[in-house]
Amino acid sequence: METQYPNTYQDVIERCRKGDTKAQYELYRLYYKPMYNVCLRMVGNEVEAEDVMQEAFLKAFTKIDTYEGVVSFGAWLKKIVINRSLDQLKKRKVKFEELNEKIPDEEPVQIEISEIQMEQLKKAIQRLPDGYRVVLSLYLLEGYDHEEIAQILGITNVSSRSQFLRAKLKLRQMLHKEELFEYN
Amino acid sequence: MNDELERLILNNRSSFQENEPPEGHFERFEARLQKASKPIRKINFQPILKIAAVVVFVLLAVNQVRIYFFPEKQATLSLGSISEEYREVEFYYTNAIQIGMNQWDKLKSEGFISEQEQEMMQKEQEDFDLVYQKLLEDLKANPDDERVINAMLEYYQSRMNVITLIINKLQEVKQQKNINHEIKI
Repeated sequence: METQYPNTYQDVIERCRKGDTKAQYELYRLYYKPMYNVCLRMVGNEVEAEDVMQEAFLKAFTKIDTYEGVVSFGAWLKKIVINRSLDQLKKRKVKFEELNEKIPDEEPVQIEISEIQMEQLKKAIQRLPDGYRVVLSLYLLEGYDHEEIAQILGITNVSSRSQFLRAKLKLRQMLHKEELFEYN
Repeated sequence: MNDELERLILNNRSSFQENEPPEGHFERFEARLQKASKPIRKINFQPILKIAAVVVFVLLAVNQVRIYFFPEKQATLSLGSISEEYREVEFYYTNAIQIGMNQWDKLKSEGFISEQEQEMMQKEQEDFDLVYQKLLEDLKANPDDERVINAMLEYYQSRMNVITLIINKLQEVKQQKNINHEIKI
């Protein structure tokens, strides 16, 4: 199958296809950081995130032949990482609720944020309940739309939206409690 | 985009990518990679198992053939297998009979036994063997039957007596011949 997506490290990927361990390690060095951050946002725990991320890499190497180059390698790998993270969350019996009620969007507010506040925001996201954190991360940080999130999590499009709105609401409450943002 | 919180997160996406895994993750991954890529020495057991199955089958078949064509002679079953005492008795008789037969062979080699006598002895031994086989069969069928055991003992005794008698007679003849020879000289 001819690779379509022009990956920067296509040669490394090709070597991985041949089972070259050095290339596999190289690929890990190239992608571990974004993948770890995806994992961390999904599972919310450093040790687990590392374990899941590494597992995902090993999994990816075993099924690298199924990578057809339609999307970037990073996107393909991220999908595996997300699926492994979801498996991990399922072990914790995290349920992605079907919520269909309409949650009104809040009024737009301008926020200025410092570096310190940014850290607090990150930590607050980290502390969100699993279900909220996953949807919020997938939407805002991994760049999936609600259609894709619904597919990934096996919920409806509407549920994904309402879950996301709830997540934002919860996040606001947390930030307000910490008096991080005065606008609330 | 009408939400400032969203915008804030979206605009600072890169700062959400800054976390590093716990220290030593490279080494841990390398180890996992080694473990995963190490060609698990897959000894292909299938051919070995096949060979083993064939070997077992052949052995069983050979054994079946052996059992079919050479049914176990109840070599283990004899008077001696009944008890320790009988074993000793049997040993005594067979030993005595064997000594007698050795003497017979010696006398034969010395030329004291004629061909006719040899044939007679041969016939006698064959008769005894037949009796012995018959007794063995009886013993196999009734291992605890006193009558069979007694018959077995009588058989040994008579066989030994016959041989002893013949040998003694031959020894006498031999001695007589020697004396005659000396007198002649």
